[in-house]
Amino acid sequence: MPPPSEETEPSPNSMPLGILLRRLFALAWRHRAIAFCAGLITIALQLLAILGLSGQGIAIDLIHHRASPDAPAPKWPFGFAPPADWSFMRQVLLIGGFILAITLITSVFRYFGRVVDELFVQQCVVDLRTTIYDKLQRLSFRFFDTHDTGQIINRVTGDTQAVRSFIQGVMVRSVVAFASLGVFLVFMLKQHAMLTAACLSVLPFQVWMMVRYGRKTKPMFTEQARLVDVLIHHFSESIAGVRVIRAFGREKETVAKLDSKSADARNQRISIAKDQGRYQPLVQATNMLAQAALVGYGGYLVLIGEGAGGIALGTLWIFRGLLEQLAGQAEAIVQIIASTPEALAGAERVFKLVDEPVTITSRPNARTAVADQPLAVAFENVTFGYDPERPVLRDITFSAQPGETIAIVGPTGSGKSTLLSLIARFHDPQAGRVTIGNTDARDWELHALRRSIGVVFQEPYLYSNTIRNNVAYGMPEAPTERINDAIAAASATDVIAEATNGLETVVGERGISLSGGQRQRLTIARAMILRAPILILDDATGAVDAVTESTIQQSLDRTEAGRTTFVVAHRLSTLRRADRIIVLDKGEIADIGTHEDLIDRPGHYRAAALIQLALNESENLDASEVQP
Amino acid sequence: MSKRRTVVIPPHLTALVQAPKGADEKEPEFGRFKWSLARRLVVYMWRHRGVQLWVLFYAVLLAGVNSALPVVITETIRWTIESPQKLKDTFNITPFQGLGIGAGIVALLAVAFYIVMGIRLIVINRLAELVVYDIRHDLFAHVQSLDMSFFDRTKLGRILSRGTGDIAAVRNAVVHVIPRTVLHTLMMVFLFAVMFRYDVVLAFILLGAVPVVYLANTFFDRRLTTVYRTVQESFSRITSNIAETVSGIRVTQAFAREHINAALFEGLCQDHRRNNMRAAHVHGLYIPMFELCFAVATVLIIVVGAWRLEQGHMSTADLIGFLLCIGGFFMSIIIIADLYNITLQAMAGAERIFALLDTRPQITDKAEAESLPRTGNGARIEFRNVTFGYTAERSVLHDVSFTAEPGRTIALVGHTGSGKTSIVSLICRLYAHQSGDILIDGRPIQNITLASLHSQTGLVLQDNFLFTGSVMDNIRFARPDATDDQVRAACLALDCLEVFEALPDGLLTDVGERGTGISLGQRQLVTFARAMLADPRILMLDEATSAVDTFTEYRIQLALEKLMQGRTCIVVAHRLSTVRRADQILVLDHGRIIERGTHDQLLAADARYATLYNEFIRLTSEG
Repeated sequence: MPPPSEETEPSPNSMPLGILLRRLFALAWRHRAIAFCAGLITIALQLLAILGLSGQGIAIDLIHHRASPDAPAPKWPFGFAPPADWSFMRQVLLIGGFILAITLITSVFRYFGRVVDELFVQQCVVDLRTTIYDKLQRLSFRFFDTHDTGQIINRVTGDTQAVRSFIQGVMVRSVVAFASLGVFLVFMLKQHAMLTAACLSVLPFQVWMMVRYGRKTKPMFTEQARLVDVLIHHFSESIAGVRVIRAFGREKETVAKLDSKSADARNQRISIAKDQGRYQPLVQATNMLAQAALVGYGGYLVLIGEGAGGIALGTLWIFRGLLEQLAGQAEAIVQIIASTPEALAGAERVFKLVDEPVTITSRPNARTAVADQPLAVAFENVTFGYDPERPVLRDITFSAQPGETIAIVGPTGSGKSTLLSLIARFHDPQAGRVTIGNTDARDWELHALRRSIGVVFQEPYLYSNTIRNNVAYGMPEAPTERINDAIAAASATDVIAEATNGLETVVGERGISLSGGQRQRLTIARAMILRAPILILDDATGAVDAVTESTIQQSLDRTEAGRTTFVVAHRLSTLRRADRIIVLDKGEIADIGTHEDLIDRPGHYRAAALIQLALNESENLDASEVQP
Repeated sequence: MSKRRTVVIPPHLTALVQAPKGADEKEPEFGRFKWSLARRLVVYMWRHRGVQLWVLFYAVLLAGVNSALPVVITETIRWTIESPQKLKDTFNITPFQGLGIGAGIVALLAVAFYIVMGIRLIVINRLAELVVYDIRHDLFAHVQSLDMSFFDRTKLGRILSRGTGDIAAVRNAVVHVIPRTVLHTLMMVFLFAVMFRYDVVLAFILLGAVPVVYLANTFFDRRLTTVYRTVQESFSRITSNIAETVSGIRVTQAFAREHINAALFEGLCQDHRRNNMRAAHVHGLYIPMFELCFAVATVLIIVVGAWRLEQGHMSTADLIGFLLCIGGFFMSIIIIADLYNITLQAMAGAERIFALLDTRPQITDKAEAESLPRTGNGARIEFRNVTFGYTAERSVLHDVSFTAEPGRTIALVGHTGSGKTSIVSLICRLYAHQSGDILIDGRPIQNITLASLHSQTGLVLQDNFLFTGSVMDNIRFARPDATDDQVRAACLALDCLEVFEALPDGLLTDVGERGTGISLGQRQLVTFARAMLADPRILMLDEATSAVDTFTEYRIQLALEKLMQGRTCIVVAHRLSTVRRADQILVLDHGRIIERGTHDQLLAADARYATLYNEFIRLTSEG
């Protein structure tokens, strides 16, 4: 777990807003039928709300008229009026039934509204997610080398969520907010324009205030999350490193350090609360102010009576209800304003990933058959650099005959792994060519080429999955027998024997922990199961001890029938087995030859070999090997 | 879009889409309410009773302000609109003046609300942070005191979630449960009193709705929580799938398995979509529930109110008062119902936290323990018939006896699981042995204070564990009071100062668990320097098996030799050179010492060690 830090995303050559919006709308447009449904339901809900409130208003007018006969009689809408012979209670019951009926209809609409809303969003998001995933898998290593893993993961999860929240939060919800604002406003203005203005005057202020609050506290909450992450990170370390802490007797210092991180998080959270206390109650408080206006001005209008430009008591009640509903919309608008920049930034990153060019692709008419015959590998004047300006490999030429074992040595950074990565076409060279079985690697169908090569990387990556699924990763349909053979070939039988559930034991992050050597042996088994004609071992035995490394080498020797093998290794025992050794230095081939050839010539290889021999104090080795 | 291959996914892979097998079983999210847990939480809050008192004080004030609002509006309507004549008779003011006064009071309430609510927020958060800090401190300190066996049987994630999710649940309880229970219970009481005052019969009819609303809400709340948890779970499956895809992208491309992965991922997405839709259905039923209850109450007020008005028991203003009060009244019921679930979540969290705090360490200082005097170069370590097992049933060391004289080096040799690491752990007293004696300088190890023992031990682990921080911080870990020069001197003594100074930021280069910018060999050197600075009399070394490049290996061996000088060293050996230099080699097999002696003696004996050695030579040198 790397220590969490503030994520500052560089966003060079950002996408123009117009294009961004157009693409977002295009995404939503594909599901327009369902979006249209959602819009209709929204507007229906607003109308229903007005109907329900109107029912209450009429009821109040009716009752008020009954209690004080000089108050105006209720105005029934749509030219409807109950028969004159209906009793007061019968009229009240009619209105009660009406309100209930409206609420029931509203409930049904609410339910469908929620479901349709979700359906729309889910369709958009699933679409987008699978598209990105597809893209992600086809991007070249270059992309993954230059982008932080966490950020890439965030593209598919967080940023897709951002697009989701744009579609749901901005597109859908702003339709809701403005539809209700519009419908309510028309209705209220029709009743009384001045009262409407008086009540709604707080709305812009609320929106402005909340946006300000959001701007102010957002970085504080981000900082809070970071402080908590730091705290948890240290807590985690204090557990992972508990042996070291114990052995050096540093428990007190460790707890003191954790406490200080804990206090940082605490103090910052308390200071956030001060701003929260200042801003958060503002919306509700100003809503109460609007109610004061309603009481004062609205009451005045009721007093002067409808004849003199006033309103009925029932209408005042309707206003109060609508005001309550609009108060909710103010918060929705604030949400929209606050989330838009973030959602757009997320969407932009998503689209950039979708637009990322796939550089390694198969040509039409490429060689498609997966090879099962031994293959020769040749590098012809190959030059390659991750940055074309700075080549990592320069003018590399050599060839490996079918069945040969080629070892590659050289100091860190000399280009050993890079050289190997060109064989399976994880990168394409800038100049020269790599041929596999006398066919240019670029003329192979990518899938066929890679299925012909078994690769073991330096970093022994295992999935959080069973040992079986890990070993059979490249061949999920492999029978158990073949899996066991591969495991035996990688000298990993003891790993299975020690694991609680044998092949079905879960390893990786969520499973049992394995040592580096055990992991490496499983990754070797994963490559062995393919029985591919080419095998690449990129420092694949660095973490296993010398004896095990030799055992693996021996079993590789046994199983290799005409397999062309490339191996990066440090130990002499492995190097001696190679048919030829390529010594790389600063991206160029410094020397090629057998162990016996190279040990005779002065240079990096001889120097390294001599030190290793000296370190092992291997007096049993023939002195003539050391002294030419 | 690429052309998709039609993919047949083997059944054992689809099973993993549903639920990752062997993944952590979930800990229950809801607990049962227990007074014992609640009492312990209250003890934490009692430490900050001053703040707690203010929290309660503001809850009462806020309940007052919130309940006053409908009353003021109702009374304004009553006096000005309903019976303006009475207003004139009683107070001698016009209804217009009355309206002004009413509006003024509402505005004052708005200001009061702003102030009370604001301060309340600040005070509540303050209390929560103070309490959480205390719990966290106890947790951190307690975890550091626990036995190694606790860490062996408890996964890191589990311990961490005590400090994250569980504490968050408890914080929720502190922030929400107590203050809100007080606030909303008071509001319910106040509002009911107001309604009672307006009309007794109608008030009691509405009271009947309380259990209905409460139960309905509790029911839905539970279901919602459950259904949203499945959404969260399927989303976290998506996230971890992507995380794996990205970290394992090289493997995927090397094995050309993109199409299978894409099919699996699509399965996860569809699964997540289904869960989301299911949640939407439940949520869609839940949203109108409150609205329906509210509508029924409203209709009841209108119909029953009209009837009571006909009979002369109520006025229009009373009826409006009811309509104004009922919203807040119902809201309070719903919030209190929600609190019930929050409480149960907090209980589950508190129960796990307290269970951890109640785990008692076995290895502690005895009352009569004395500190170990620091004398001479290296301590004398003696094992007498020591038997030890991580669990009482299965011993990993049987009847082990040996003596390490001061300043000498003992190499432990044997296969994985033969008990080498256990011997090292026992000398640090990370575990307690079951029988026999372990003597340090002639004193039984359990009679030595842990602090004094650990001040004289140094440990270099195979995995080269480094803490987040700079190289300097990591070395200084061994002796926090060491000056920069002392750290440098320790590096210099190992002849590796220039290796660290060649790093991008020299000794201030940041490293971490997976520190970048520092190689495996360099990490090893840091752990050496750390042990060097501690200057322990007993050095325990678990040698790394990994192969580093030849020049670094050379450095490591030189540094090692210097580090080991003048101390008693116990080495779990993987390097031939280390074994050959040892004063005594103990060959372990299944927890027993089967051979002992120097390299030459053991070779001459031509038994197990000689076989191991020859096998090693044969395997590593065969061409």
